[in-house]
Amino acid sequence: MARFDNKVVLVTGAANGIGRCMVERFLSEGVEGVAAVDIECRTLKDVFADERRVRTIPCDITDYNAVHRMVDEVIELFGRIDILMNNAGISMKDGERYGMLTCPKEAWDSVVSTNLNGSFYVAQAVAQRMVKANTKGVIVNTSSNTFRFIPKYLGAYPATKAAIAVFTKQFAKELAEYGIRVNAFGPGTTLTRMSEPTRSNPEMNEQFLRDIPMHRYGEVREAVDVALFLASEQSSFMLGETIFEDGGQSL
Amino acid sequence: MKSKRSEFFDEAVVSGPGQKEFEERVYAEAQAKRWPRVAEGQGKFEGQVAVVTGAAGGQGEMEAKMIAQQGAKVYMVDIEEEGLKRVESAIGADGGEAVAVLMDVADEGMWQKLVEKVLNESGRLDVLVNNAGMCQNGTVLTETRESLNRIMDVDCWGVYNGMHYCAPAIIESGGGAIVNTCSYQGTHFGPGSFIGYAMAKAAVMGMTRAAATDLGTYGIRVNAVNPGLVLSGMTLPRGQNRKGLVEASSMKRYALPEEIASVVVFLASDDSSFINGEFIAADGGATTYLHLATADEK
Repeated sequence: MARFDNKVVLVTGAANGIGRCMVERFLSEGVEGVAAVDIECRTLKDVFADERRVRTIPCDITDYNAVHRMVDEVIELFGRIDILMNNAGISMKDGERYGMLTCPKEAWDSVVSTNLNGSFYVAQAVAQRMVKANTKGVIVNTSSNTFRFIPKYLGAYPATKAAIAVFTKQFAKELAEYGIRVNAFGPGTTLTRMSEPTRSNPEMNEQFLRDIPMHRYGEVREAVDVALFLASEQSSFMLGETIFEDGGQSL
Repeated sequence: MKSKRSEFFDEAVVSGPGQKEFEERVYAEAQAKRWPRVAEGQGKFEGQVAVVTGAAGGQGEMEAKMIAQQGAKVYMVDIEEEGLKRVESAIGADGGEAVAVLMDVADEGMWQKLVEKVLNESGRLDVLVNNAGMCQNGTVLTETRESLNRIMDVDCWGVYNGMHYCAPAIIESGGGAIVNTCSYQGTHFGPGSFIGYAMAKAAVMGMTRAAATDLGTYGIRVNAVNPGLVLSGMTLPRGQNRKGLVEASSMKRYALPEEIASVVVFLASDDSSFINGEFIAADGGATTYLHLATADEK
């Protein structure tokens, strides 16, 4: 018996990096169905073309109505949602480094509307349906370690990820009576496209590798191991927690 | 001079009539409020050697059992011989490998001997779980330096000794993981007159972080679990009067020992290979409250 037998999972931000790996790992651990959601699904569709258990659904999570339509579609397809991996998020556009003095309004708003507003829309929409269907579900939000050690010039990113850790606790506390567990994980610099600008900046690269006690970056697999631990029964007494997974970078 | 709060907890140690029924009832409640358990992947610790302290009962017993079940040879440390023998034979009967070691974690000489024994017999050491601990009622008004000696020896120095004597062996084995046991009393100083416990557990948090930076370079990850109220020999005698705390937690139940053990297994295994210096709360949402003081004000 696998960890996720008979579970229906919704993964947002499923096209790349951590989200894509989540979908693959859920498939190898027995899920009944995975709704793989991203703003851009073309490549995703090809990757999982042969996998009947995966349905790819394009959705811009900054659009409140579109989120509700998407969640309804998932329930129509699979009957319910047991696990939400609320993972979609963006860093500052094109890896541009914005200081707090100069960060333009558009750049700030764009990160806030995806990372904070969008994540909330998805969590709320799914939670409403879990409660309605009496599903003893699990929600796992993707936060970040950046709000604990605050690297410079990341614009709105650390603030939105801190907000996610806080609303994780709010959801956790309010949904506990329905048997729904809500937790988050906060990966550090992981070998994904999103962290590429940091890693390819020689100065930042050197500083990061020096400051991380394990002197290396995280692999996507390692981040997903943590996320799946939170989605599984192994964390059955955890509620409202954010697990930082960063090799000790933010200590 | 008794505060409302200390009255609430001073009478906490109860083991008179009704205790057994109480224990059975809270156990059944906790079971009923849980999801059905599914099997974990096997062989997470294949070929590894682990030391688990406080393994003669409760959460430590489950940790030893689950780590052994996943393929490690487990050296179980405790001061309670009977419990050790029971867990040792239970693991053996289950096809696992366990060695009972009767020792006090506060005793440095015994730690030295233990590490020698482990290296002589098994040639390596991969995982250390510092779980042994004790709890003692008392406030800043009642406790003295002397009355706190024992709890600091066990809960604080016991953990330090474990890390200090085991880390070199783990480094020589090519790296591994250390998992300490903290408590929400280390971060959220809630109600209850447990100043010694709070002091020791806060020290464990500090040493966990420091050791994580010290040992990360050598490929050892150091993390801690912060359990909430667990059904065990340490909490149950205080159980009846701690109902308020259970009510204050979001899940409204105690944790089963295996629910803490599964977090320890996660932190000790490769599943958490990039987590270092972390404290993971498994407390049913107790610390989603900023302060647990609400519990006795109800």
